[in-house]
Amino acid sequence: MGSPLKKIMLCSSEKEIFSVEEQVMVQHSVIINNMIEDGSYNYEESKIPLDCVDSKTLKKVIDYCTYHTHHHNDNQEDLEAWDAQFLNVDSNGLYDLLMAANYLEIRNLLDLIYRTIKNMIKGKKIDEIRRILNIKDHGFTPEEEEQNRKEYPHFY
Amino acid sequence: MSMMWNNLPFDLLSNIFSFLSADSLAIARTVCRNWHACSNSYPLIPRITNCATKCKALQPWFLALPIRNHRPCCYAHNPVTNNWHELPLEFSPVSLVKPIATIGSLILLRITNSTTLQLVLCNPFTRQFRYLPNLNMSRTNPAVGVTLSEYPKNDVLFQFPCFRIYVAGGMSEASSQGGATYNPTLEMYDSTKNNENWEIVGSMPVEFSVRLTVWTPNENVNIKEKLYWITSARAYSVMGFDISNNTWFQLGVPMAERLEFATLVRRSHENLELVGGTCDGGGCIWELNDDGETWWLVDKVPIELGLRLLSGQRNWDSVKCVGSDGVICLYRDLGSGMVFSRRIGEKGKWEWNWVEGCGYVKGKQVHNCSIRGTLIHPTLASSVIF
Repeated sequence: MGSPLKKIMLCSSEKEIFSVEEQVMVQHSVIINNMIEDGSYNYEESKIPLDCVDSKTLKKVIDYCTYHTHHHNDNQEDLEAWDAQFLNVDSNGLYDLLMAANYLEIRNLLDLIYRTIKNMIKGKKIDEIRRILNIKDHGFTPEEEEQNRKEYPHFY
Repeated sequence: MSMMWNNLPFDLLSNIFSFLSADSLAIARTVCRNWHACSNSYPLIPRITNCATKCKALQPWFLALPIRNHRPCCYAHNPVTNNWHELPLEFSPVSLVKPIATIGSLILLRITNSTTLQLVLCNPFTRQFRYLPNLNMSRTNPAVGVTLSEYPKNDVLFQFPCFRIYVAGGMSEASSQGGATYNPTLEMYDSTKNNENWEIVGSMPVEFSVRLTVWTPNENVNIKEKLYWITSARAYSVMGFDISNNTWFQLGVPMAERLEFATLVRRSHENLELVGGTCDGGGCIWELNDDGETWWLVDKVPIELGLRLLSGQRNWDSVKCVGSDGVICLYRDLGSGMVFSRRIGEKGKWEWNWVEGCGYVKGKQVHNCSIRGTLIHPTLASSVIF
């Protein structure tokens, strides 16, 4: 665990630098925790490059980690309400967050995103899921797609 | 950017899939080619351990196997949508089967057109099927029991379920010297052993082997280190086997002389429960106390649901029952309605409900027939056990 006063630098894909309380990232991201623990981070010079996370997404991720660090004693309902508001983004935004949470190994955020996606999918028909997630290329041949529609008409 | 959700890495996608109930997953896997490939190649670990009791989506489905099949199929009731589905069984090379136990998402069946015991495993949702190896000794009508390790948390273990099957008693084949005899031994099959063989692991007093053979249906309950079977010799009683010290024992049951049907169930992980009915007392559920000898009445089938189940008849002879983690189901045949008891909340109450029988599937009428029911956690994930 780092000292709460220390800050670390994160660098987005657009090369924008974000300065974050070390404790906030260490508590949530397995990758950053490992980096700090093994001493490969130099507080004077290092910037952790996150080439596959854009600034908009990185800001969201930092917001999530900051909020959950400072509010972990709040009651469950308030946290859930905050999480729901936090994930009220379009499917592109959700995808970017998923990728970032996966890259940084932020397990509670990953879990939250999985559940959100599950709720978007469950009980929906195929055409609806494709529309919600903007899946235009399903990858089936026209024959396979026709076969599926014939075999499982109630799925569509 | 429109390429993204359909190109989700499989490890992430399989995590999302693991939250879906089987019916939602069946749809999700048909959304696009990659999702389909993922559902076939990645182990999908249903999230059962944490919230099976809280979350309706993870409750077991009731599976009805017709006793005499006019055509190879079974019927499954989805508790989330309250719908009946027809599952074809034409992939199975044997048509006459009887369910003995469910092992997670697999059903253990015995083939009923052979007199000696032959066991098979099947997942009707993935259409997978296999024979288990032959016993060391041929046995007619032995008792069968299953122990299952808790739901494994790791992927490899989920694909390869860990269970043991015990077979006790049964009639031997008639020999040249004389007639058939009761077999006083116990054989065990261990799914985690590579050799794929049954092992003789114990013996029992002859009077136990007689009762296990003649009076014991195959339904069995495993709690901790003990296996229990109900027997119907004159009055009902319970036969038990303690795996940890290899001993057999017997237990009395409440109202034994008067019960019109009696089934052992495992509603929770801790205690053995007995479901039984009498014409004046209705349907009752007793739990075995920690002393392992005495029973106490924990619940009753609500009177109006009991009457509806019996539909005008006065006795409980025709009622069958099946129960497992968090659910009890009382039923008579495919078309009549069923009575379900489900646990609501983690430590909460049990709630009784009526579920309509399977009269129609997708608008087509289904003929009523005698069934044997079992409760199963459906999965579309392949298991390497096949």
